[in-house]
Order: sequence, then C-alpha cells, then structure tokens
Amino acid sequence: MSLPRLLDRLKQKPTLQLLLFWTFAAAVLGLVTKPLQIHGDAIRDLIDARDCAEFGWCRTTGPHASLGAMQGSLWPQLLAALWRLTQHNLLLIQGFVVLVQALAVALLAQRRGLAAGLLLLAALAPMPDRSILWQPSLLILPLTFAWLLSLQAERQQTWLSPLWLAISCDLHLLSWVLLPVLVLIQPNRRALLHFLLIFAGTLLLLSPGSCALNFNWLHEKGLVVPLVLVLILTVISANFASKLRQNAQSKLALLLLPWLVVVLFAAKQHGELPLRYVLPLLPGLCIAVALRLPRLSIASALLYLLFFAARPPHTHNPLPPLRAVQAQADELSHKHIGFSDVALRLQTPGCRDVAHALGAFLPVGRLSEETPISLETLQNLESEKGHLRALDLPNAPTSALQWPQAQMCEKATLNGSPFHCQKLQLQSDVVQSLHTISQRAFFRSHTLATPVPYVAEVRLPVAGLPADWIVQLLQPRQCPWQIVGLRGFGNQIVPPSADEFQLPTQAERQGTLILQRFVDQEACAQLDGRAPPCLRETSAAQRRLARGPMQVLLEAATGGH
Amino acid sequence: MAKLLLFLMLLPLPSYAEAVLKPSVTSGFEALSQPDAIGAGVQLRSAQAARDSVVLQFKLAGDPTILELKLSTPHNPPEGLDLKQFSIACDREAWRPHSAALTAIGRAIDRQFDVSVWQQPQTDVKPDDNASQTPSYAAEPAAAQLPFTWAQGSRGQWASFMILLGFIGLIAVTQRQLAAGQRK
Repeated sequence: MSLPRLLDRLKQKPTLQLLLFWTFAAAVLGLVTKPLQIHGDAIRDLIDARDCAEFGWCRTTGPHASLGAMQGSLWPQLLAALWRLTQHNLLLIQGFVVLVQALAVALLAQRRGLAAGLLLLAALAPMPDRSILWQPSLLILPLTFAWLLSLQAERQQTWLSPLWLAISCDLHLLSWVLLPVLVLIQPNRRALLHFLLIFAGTLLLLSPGSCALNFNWLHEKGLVVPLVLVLILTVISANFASKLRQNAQSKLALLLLPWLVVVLFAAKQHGELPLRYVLPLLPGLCIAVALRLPRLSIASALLYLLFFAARPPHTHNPLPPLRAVQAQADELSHKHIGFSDVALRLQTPGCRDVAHALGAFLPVGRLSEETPISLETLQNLESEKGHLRALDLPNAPTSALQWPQAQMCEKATLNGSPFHCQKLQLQSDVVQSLHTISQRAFFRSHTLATPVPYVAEVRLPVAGLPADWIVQLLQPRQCPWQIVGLRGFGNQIVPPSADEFQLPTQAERQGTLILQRFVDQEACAQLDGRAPPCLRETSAAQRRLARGPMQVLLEAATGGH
Repeated sequence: MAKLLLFLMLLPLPSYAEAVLKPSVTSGFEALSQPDAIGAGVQLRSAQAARDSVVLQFKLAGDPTILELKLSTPHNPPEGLDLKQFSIACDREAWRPHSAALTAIGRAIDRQFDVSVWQQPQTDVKPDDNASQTPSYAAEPAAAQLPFTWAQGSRGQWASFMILLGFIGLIAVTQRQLAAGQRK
C-alpha cells in the first residue's frame, strides 16, 4: 500500500493516526536527544522546582530572563510536580519533555499534513537546547496549539487560542511576538475583547508575581505608556484588519516585524542568535512551507533526519551529564558531604559548573564537621565518556589546598592601587531559602567591585604537602589564570610553568599559592565573575602515569619535566 | 471537562491574592521581637568566641520576605548580644510547617555554633532580652526584589500536581476542540 493511500485510510481513524505520528516523532526525538547537560539556567530551574516540591516554597514568579523581565512560574511548577512524581528521576522527566515535543509534531502532522509535521520534527531534532531542562523545554506544544487554534479561529471562535498563547508567554517571554498576529486575525471587536481578556486573565492566574514584577520593570523603564499606546493602536488595527481578510502569508509577514525586533534585541544581549528564538515562528513556517511544497518538504525533512541521525558524535563536552552529577550527589550525601563542603574545592574541569549542578541535588550547607574529604571525592566528577568514576578509597590522600582559608583579591590595573582582599566564600553558603537558592546556581556571577580591566589574585594556603606534590591548573578557554608563585617557604618561588607547579617539600610544608589573572574585557568578567580557578592536585608519579609511558620517555630523553 | 479544568485552575486563587496583596515586611526585627509573637525559633550556642560573622536567614510563613540577621564578629560586638547564647524567636504558628526549613538553616550556620531548633508552648516562653532590645545589628531584608510565594508546605506541593494535571487536561480538551473544528 502506498504512503498516500495509507494516510488516507488513517484519516478515517484520527486517534490511531495521532498515536502513530506521536510514536514515530517520540522515537526519532528520543533517538537523537542527548543526555541532559549542565546549564546554569537549568540548574536554577531545578533548584526552584526542588524548593517547591520538597519544601513547599512555590513561587508565582519564574526566573529572570536575559531580556530583563521575568519568566512565568508555570515551568518551575510543572517541574516540581514531575520532580516528585518521578522521584527525582531526570531520565523520566526528560522523557516527559520529549513526549510533549513529539506531541506537538504529531498534532501538526495530523492537523496540517504530514509534511508540516516532518518539517517541525526536522527542525526540532538538531536543536542543541533540547538537552537542557529549562524554561523553553515545553514551549513548542503551546506554540503549536496557539498556531493551530488561531488558524482555526477564523472559522470558529475558541477560548483556547488566547489561553495557549498565555501559557506560551508564561513559559517563555519570546512568545509575546505572536500576540500582535493573533490579535490581528480576530474576526471582530467582540472576539478581540474576549481574546485579550482570556489572555490577560490566564497570565495573571498563572504567574501573578511575574506580572506584578514585570509591570514594575516596565514602569521603571518608562515603557508602560508606550505599550498602552501600542496596544490601543493594535486594537484599532485589528478592527480595521478584520475587514481585509488577509491570507496566511500576510499574517506571517505581520509576525516578522515584532519577531525581528526581538531577535535583534536578543542577539545584542547574547552576541549570537540562539536557535530557540526561532521557536515562536516555527509551527507557522512549517505550515506555510508544507502548504506550498508538500512533497519537497517530506523528502527534504526525511533526508535531513537521516543525515542527522547518522552524523558522527559531537565534540567532546568536558562537563559530565546532569544525571551523572546527580548520581555523584547521592553518593556525597551518603558520605554526609554537603554543598558547601565541596562547591569550592572540586578538582575537575569546569569545576564551577559542576558545583552549580551539585547544588541542585545536594543538601545545602556544610554537613561534615571534621571529616576530611579525600582527593578522590573531589576529583571523581570528571567526565569519562559520560561516565563518572566513583572511587571510595579509605586511605586516599586529602587535599593540601586549604580553600576555606583562601582569599580573593582585586586591584584596578590603571591606577596601580594595592589589592583589596576578602575571604573567598560562596555567595550561597548561607541557607536554603527562596532568595539565596537561585543565587546558589549563580554564585560565580558576583557583582564586580572593580571596574574592568582589573587583576584578580587568589591567595590559597597550602599545608600538609605530601612529597612530590603537583598542582595543575584546569584552564578555561577564556580568561586564563596563571600560577605566579608560592609564598611562605622563606621567599617567593616562581614556578617554571604558569599552568603547573611542583610544590617544594620542605620541613615547614605550608605556604600560600598565588594565582593571578588579568580581566581585560567585560565579557570575560561576566563569564566567570570572581570565581576562583579550577585546580587539581596530583603526585608526580600519578601525573607521569596519566601522560603515558611514551611521553615520559620522550621527556626523559629531552630532559623535559 | 472545560469547566472542571477552569475550576481546578481557579482553586489556588485565594492564595495568589494573599501573596500579591499582602504587604511585605520591610523591617523584620520589630515584627519578630513582639512578645506575643514568640513561640519557636532557632537557638545558637557557641562553645568559643566566634571568629567569623554569622549570617542567619529565616522566613515567615505566608510572607515572601526573607529576614537576614548578621551577627558581628567579636572585633565589633553588637551591644547586648552574648554570642555564646542567642535565641531568635518568631511566631510559632508561622514556623509550624517549616521544620524542614529550620533544619536546613541549622545545617548552614557556621560550624562553631551549635544550632538547635526549639519549639515551646506559647505560655512557657518569655521574650528574649536580647531580641527585645533595639539591636545595633538591624535586621535587613535580603533584597528589594523578593519572590512572591503563593503556597507553602503541602499546599504548594499539591498545587504543583494540580497544575500538572491541569496542563495535561488542557491538552486533551484542546485536542478534542481541534478535532471538532476539523469536522466542521
């Protein structure tokens, strides 16, 4: 039986058709979806959800958006429910998200043809954002509903169209770009009034806190009056446009203008155009293209999906997947190690990001009073092909780096003023609360006291050094730190390498390791704030093993270190 | 179905209104030090003089404000404050659903303090002398932009389930509506 005939027969059984589309889309999306990744926003959302699910602190506001306003609270609430229902199982939560995204594809395929559904599937599959559990994760379904209902609303009045648009706007502020278009297609003044009332009412009901704070934000920016004027103009235009009987293309054209404004603004904020900013347009674009070029759409979408599924693995991500961090957090909890015990002391690449992620799962605060934490515990969060080693050696050495006594110092480079120092501590090392908990995910984003450019210096006491002990810098790509010396061994010792330092083993066996970096760009300052560098301790013997016998032989032959 | 859905979504409305309309506490310490509002709290005991400052934060039920008390270091001791034993008390009713929160606070406070969460019958409790004095370490609201909290304890947890149910129900209703629209 040919595909068109099969589709014709399936049309007579719409439920079965929808289920088949849904299964296919879920299978494809499930196949190409990568494990959940560490992302600051995702960690913040998880912490909010955990607050609500475990402590009952549920908010009527969402997180701050990069645009400045606040997102809605629906996503943290849904995540909280999923968190409890799945017993903190991230795989199941991700499965729910994939099912919701696949449902959007299936609905579009069923209502607007297979070509439209396949195009949406091909567009969604490669989006890297899909491996992040955050505010836009569920967005595509409400947007698809809003599009489908609004296209249907030309013939049939429905209260669901503004409701789903409001849900979209609550899930992500980007969705506001759809509002003018959906307003403009309302058939008459009465329908328009209903639309606006339901839209505003739903938004208020879902996230009154966000609405209030966003109103304050608009007020502070002096945007309330201009927006009211725009609203009045839109209503007048809608009244006028309802008589023009526009076609689908002109609606899309109408959408492009507000979307372009948002995209330009967003690109200015981010320095790039994230793919998720296309989401509000996506269902409409798929419908429009599939309407004109159905066969070409099917062929190209299928080819693209095949190509994407067969692609070589992506470049190596130095950060472990979120589930691995959660498993590690469980182990740490069993050892009575809390967030504050490990957050500053992790010895793994991307230690700050990994610490953020641990913050979503670990009990807050310092749990271990005197128990030393072994180096293996601090180092075993390193990603090895997505798998974390879980070492628990009873006689493992403890860290010589005394992070709890470390100081962070800064000075402006222009005036040559002396360093201003303060004890290095987590901003969030206080208490689990509604306010600080979000900061826990963002403790790297300190407000900078010194204007850029500046020199940052970390003074890190070292004590109890074993013989043959090496400290290595785990470098980020930008804003690199340098080991500039060691004080306290009689005089300052300058290391031969800025990335690695073999600490002298003297009787005193204590001193202060000095690390510095020069922050010369605002972007660099925003990236890491005043977060200290990631360091790793190891013995010279272990380091030689890690580098392999061939390299050691070569070094021995050439006299290198 | 649609009406049921609407009813489910409207259920938490009183809590919303309470959260939005209730004025936030901007000067928390006065509210806390009222004698008739004492009944439970956090007690700190220090075996030795504190070397570092301690920040204690806590939150009243039904109010989004987080109160932050900073206990100074011995170099700058606040008047009338004995760092070796210090109690902070607040409304017992407000704290009742927050035993988990109090435990979390206890864990987070600096290690040289022995933190215990205590609850006593209202009649047995006398206002703490230190707390009733106007402190030089005035209570500070954590920040100006505080989150709105609309449900707490088990109410919040159940409400999130309701919202998830509402979301799934709404999908079903919309699917039916779309199917009905296509038939027409």
